[in-house]
Amino acid sequence: MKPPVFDYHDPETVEEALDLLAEHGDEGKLLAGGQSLVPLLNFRLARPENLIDLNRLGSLTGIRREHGSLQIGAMTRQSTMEHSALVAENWPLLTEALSYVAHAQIRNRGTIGGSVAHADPAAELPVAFSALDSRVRVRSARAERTIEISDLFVTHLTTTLEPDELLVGIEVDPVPERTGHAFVEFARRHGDFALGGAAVLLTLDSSGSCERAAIALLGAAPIPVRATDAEQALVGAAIDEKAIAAAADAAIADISPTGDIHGSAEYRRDLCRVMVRRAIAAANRRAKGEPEPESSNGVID
Amino acid sequence: MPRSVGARVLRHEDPRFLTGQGTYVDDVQLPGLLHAAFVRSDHAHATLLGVDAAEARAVPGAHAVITAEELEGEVAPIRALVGTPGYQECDMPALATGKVRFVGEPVALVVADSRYSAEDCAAAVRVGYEPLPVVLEIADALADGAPAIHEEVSDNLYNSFETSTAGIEKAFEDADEVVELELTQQRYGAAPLEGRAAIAHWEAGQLTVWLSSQVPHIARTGLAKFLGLAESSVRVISPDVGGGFGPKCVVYQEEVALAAASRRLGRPVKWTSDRSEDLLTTIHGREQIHRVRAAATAEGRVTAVSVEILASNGAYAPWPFGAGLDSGMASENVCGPYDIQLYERDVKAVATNKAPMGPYRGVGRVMACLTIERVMDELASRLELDRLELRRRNLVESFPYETATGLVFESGDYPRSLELLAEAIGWEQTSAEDEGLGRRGRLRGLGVACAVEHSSYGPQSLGSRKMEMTFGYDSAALRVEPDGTARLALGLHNHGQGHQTTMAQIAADELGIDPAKVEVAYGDTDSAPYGAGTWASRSTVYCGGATVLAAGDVREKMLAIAADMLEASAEDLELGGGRISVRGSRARGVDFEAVARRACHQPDLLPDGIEPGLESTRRYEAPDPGSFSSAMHAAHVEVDPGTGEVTVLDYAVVEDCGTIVNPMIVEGQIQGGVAQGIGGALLEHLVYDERGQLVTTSFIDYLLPTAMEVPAIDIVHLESPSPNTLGGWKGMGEGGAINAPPAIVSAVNDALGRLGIPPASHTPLTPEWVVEQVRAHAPEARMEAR
Repeated sequence: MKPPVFDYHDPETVEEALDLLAEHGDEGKLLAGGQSLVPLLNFRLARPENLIDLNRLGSLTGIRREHGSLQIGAMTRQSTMEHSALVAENWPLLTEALSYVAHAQIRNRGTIGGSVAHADPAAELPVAFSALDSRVRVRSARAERTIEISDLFVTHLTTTLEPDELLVGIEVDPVPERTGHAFVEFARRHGDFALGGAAVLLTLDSSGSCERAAIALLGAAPIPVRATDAEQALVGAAIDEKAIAAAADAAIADISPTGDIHGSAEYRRDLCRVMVRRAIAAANRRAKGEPEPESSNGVID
Repeated sequence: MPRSVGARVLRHEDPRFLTGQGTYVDDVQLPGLLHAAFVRSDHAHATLLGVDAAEARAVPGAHAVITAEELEGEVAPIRALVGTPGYQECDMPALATGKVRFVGEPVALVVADSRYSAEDCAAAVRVGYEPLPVVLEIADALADGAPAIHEEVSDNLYNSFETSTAGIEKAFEDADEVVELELTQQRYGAAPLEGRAAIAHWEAGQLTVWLSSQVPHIARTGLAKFLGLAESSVRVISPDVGGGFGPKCVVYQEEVALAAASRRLGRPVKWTSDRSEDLLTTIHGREQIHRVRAAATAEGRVTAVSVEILASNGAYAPWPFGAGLDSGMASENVCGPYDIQLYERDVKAVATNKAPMGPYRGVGRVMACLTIERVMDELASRLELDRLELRRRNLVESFPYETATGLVFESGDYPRSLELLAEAIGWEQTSAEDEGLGRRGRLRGLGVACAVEHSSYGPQSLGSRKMEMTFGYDSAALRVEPDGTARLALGLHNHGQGHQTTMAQIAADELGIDPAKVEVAYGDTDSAPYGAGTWASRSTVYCGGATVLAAGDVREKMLAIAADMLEASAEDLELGGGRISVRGSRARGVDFEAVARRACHQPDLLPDGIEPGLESTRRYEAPDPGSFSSAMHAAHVEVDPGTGEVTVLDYAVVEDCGTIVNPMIVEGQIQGGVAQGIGGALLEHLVYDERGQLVTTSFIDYLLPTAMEVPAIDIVHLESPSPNTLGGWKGMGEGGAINAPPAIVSAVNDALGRLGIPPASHTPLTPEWVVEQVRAHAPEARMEAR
């Protein structure tokens, strides 16, 4: 369990990193927090010739609000965002999603941008950012561009980033008033990759009907997916048991998750329905300002 | 001074571990050290066509690629010798010879400058295989015309025997109730924090092996034998070991091959298993099928039990225990703590193309406990009796009690244990509260499991297994130094059991000194007395007993010297508080140190006939058939019908291990064991695919319970001293792992029973299994769960 030989680069500026990427992009791999890449290297499942370490790029860290939107530097540690009061107050879906990401030690090293760029469909952050209609900012030695999150993910561990492009940050628009959020997932153990999950944002109008819904599914497909049929089914409706059940059914109508030893495709599909149901109910409760139910095991479930 | 035995003395070893100052095999550095990696079979069953190492030898940093051919004549195959009728032995070559029998089997050994280059080199070795039909399941291995895994092992049966009590047929004819169940248990294993590791150093005709082992002396015996060396030319050093749990008490292929490589190269060679190697190749545990029939009266008294036991022992028989361990021990313990005198068993240890199976905490008895506890629950349900009440009607009540398989429970109070358990978990109140669909549509249930833990086997009891060696004794060498501190060298090993503390407590009480003054040594065959290491909950009884004997010798001598110094009679003296004084008159005494100094440094002042020095080495044989602790567990669980999640809410244990040396350490053993049992009940599973590839080769897929999955455990002690052992001690340490899976199965069955779901008779209980049951039997409950 040792990686094969590679060349190691540790640029001090983004420009240097972009030059290295331009030179080695095809045979290079970017090292952010290393929580996914290092195991892949040690298992020899990834065999890059060049490793470009981003950990000295201080300019890529930090969380701030600009013109109401959240700006997250790609190299911001997950634990930093987890403990950010700004995020907890204004984008609590992200805070809740982070509570499911692996374990504290991993979140201390893992980065926000690394998780998004790694594009693991069982990872929480890409799903939460999808529900929030986020954008990623990308730079290369050639140019700079912004990609809508819905255009970012191609398939399992694959994005639309070009080999010479570096994800430098993530932008999230403000969440409207009267919006409830919920991130729920189920894993064999706390901190494991989820067998299924859902991120939901519900905006209610003054009468309590659904004005806007965002539902993103975790582990349901090779990329984070938005359950658009389910979202549309909710808009304009009062959120009752029947509406929730119908939305959950709609959410899984077109998904076909991949099964493995921890759960078959059929089990996972069914689990997504349960997760969507619970997430909508929780988001609705929160949008209405109702109290949180007690939990037997310390996590929101 | 109060006795130290019985006190919660803080562990002497902990400052070292907690400050990162432990020394494990991988921490050992030697001049000229080379590093090994193994080329392993990626076929479960195949003829070996050849190994091409030409390209590998050219990898930068490579020193050697060693194959079976090159070891021919240098090492003998590992072969566990077992002389009981119905047992069939087989060879386990250090490197695969002729064919491979499981995925992960070592095929070639690569030695290089670093582990990095060793892995590059191993990746460049080309191995030719001709696949053979793969035999994975017990039924396939036993089918007519099944492919033979070993030529020497006919019908793929390592071991096969039957016994039956006369009159059992009549009991079934007369029975009011006959319960029939088939139970299955998955393959799971120990996964110690530190995987296997070894350094072999051949120098000037002497072999030194640093080995992550529970049994340094047994390993020395084995290595000498398989390498054709005198035992006196082999030294095994097992420094700090990061967990054993059973798998580190056998001699592995890698260790023999590594020693041969060092002998060939004249350089020390290190191999530290990575997690994948450990999961692939370190002895697996469990995997049994039991088919049980039990006869009972209308009052719920079980009168007879008949069981067929099948174990999947994998591709080889580990040395020195052989392949009969799990199934044999299961069969001895199926009747648990219950008074069932009519018993028959049909026991088979089956060869399969999986990793070898062998000792793992709770050997065989986890399944024995699941079997009898499921019988008890089933009977309670049929007779509409409370599950505890049904057990009460069957518990052994008078001691000594000889079981149908010849075990002799020497002392205990099983009904009282069960009573204490009911109090600890709040059985009646909790049962009432759990009725119906609970909060947010979750289901709750209570479970119970009772077991007797056989440990510290006597020499005859172990001898009846007809192994190459019998481990029914162990050793202690006690030396009091000139300054009055003591050094206690033992034949045990210490890898989590806290022996550095408990053995010091025992010696300290015998000498009347503070346990902090007793240094405990073990693990180096050059300095520790010959012993069988630590496994099967043996060390407190054996080494504690030997310590009492050795310390007694030293004490008597010190009393004689002190008597001379005090001009008193030795019979009138007592030891305590670091003094030897006239009974009742502490002032009329001498310091322990002064007597030690006199014995070691002032031979001129010693009375006639007293030899200088304070040392004794003694052995202690445990009484046959052994000692028998009891453990009774109760689990309270919550099941989510929506996701299938099982959460263990509360857990209670009543443990009776005789006289307790250190309650804190006993509790640690219970907590760790229960955690492993929760893993076995719900999470841990070594999964093979249909081609015999192990799928769970990392901790992403092999799911150990974490602190999040293990509740706080309420532990109640009952102390029924053993009348047979020195000190009244009984071995303990496995009960946690034995009872927890059946207790949790019982609790989940209780919870799911509220929806009319038939009870499970298997582990692990996965979320998917739970969801399938709910969907099939009570689909509406899934919508209720929030």
